[in-house]
Amino acid sequence: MRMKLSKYTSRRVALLVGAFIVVGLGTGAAVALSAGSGQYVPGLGATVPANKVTQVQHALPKDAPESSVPAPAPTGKPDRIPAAMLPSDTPIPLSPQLIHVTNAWLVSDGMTLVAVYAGSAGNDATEGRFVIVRQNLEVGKQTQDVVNVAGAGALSITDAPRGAAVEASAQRGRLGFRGAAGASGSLDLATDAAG
Amino acid sequence: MSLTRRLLGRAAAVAALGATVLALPALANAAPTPVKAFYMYGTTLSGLQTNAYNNGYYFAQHHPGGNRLLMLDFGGARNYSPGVWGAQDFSNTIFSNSQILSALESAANGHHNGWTGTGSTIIAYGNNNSYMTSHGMSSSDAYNAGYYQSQRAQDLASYQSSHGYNKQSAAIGSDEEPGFDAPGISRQLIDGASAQGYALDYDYGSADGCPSSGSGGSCNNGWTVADVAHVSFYGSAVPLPEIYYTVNSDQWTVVRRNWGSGYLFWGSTGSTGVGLTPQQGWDALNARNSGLVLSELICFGC
Repeated sequence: MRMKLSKYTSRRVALLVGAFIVVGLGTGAAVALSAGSGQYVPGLGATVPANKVTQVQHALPKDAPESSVPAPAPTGKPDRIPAAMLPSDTPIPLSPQLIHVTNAWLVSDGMTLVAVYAGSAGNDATEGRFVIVRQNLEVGKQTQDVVNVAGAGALSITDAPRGAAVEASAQRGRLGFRGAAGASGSLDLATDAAG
Repeated sequence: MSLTRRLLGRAAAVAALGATVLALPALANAAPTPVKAFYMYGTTLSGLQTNAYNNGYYFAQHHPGGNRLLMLDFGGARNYSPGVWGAQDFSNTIFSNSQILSALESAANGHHNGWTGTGSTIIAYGNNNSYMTSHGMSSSDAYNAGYYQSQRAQDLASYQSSHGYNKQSAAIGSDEEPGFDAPGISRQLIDGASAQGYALDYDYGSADGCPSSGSGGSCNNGWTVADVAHVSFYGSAVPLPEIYYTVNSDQWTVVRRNWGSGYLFWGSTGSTGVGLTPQQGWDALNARNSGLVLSELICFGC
């Protein structure tokens, strides 16, 4: 019995000593990393250039409890947006790495919103691509789907529902498209399938 | 063998194992949980405020812990009227900075009401560099757009403080894309924000067309690697790059090399429907820049 206890004790001591060495190595590495120009910001857990320290500190939460007073809720509702093609100089939220946009279409019924961006894949101009942004405006959620049309080239939306009367129905409707390589078809927003 | 020697031997074995783990930071540092970022589509101020409120509420309700970034992208930086700046959102509506501030305050209200006691949040006024030139903006306009973007983050911080929203803070962001506009005017956005100086300025843009090896070279649309380095790390700017494909992590490693010592990634930006998941993107960047990638990961569309 006494032998067994000693064995377990020795293992624990060995683990502790080993752990201390590891922590020591880690601390040494951290010190070495932070030894360059800059200042360590504890709230961030990193060393940052001295000229960014003030801004980093502004991005940290305060060391105080959150107020228990409820905030006012908004009195308005999300916008209804009649279905329409977006003007060509409307900002595009998507990176050219994802899609080179040819044109885009937008609709919202005040509860959900759908924006469809047509074009070609950012990394392959021969690949047609739709990026579909959907927002549940009532719960503040956003999702995104990518639909590729192999070999079609840059896609353009050629036929789409328009107007206030289709703000809800158009979100599950069809958009006609044509590819730069000549193919044409439709994008089914109920299934996110193109054919 | 004496007890002391056995102890030393085991300690050495544990230390060796630990040292091996330390030598592999890409394995030791797990990618953070991605948090949602949002594109703003509003055609009225009331609608914009309601959307922002709901985004803040949703973010707080699903907070994974830690101090995380809520990026609200209000669109392209614009002149609203002479001497007044703002942004053109993705529905094609231009809002002034004072209107955007009211939406940011709504997001703060929503976050406060939805907060579950977990984590804290940096609410950021995001914009991008698209079509500034074609909308008649000068370099001076872009500088002022950046300057007052940072000012509005400071105003938001005052609002948060005065309401006791102590688990929130304020910052700005810029989706700087080489393909969106020329480098000169795009750099002015960052220079203006840095001159104002209050807000950390997250660049969640790309290094589109930049080389994937070396330490310099040309990118798309007349940009250079040095331009991307400038908009991502000059002054108050910090990089939160879009890593959608493995090559993007190589391109951003070139950007880091171009800047030189001190360059630090604040994390990365991910997306759905691309070559890498958001976590894979963060891992790819971290694997190439060991110990130089902080734990932030935002995602549009996740």
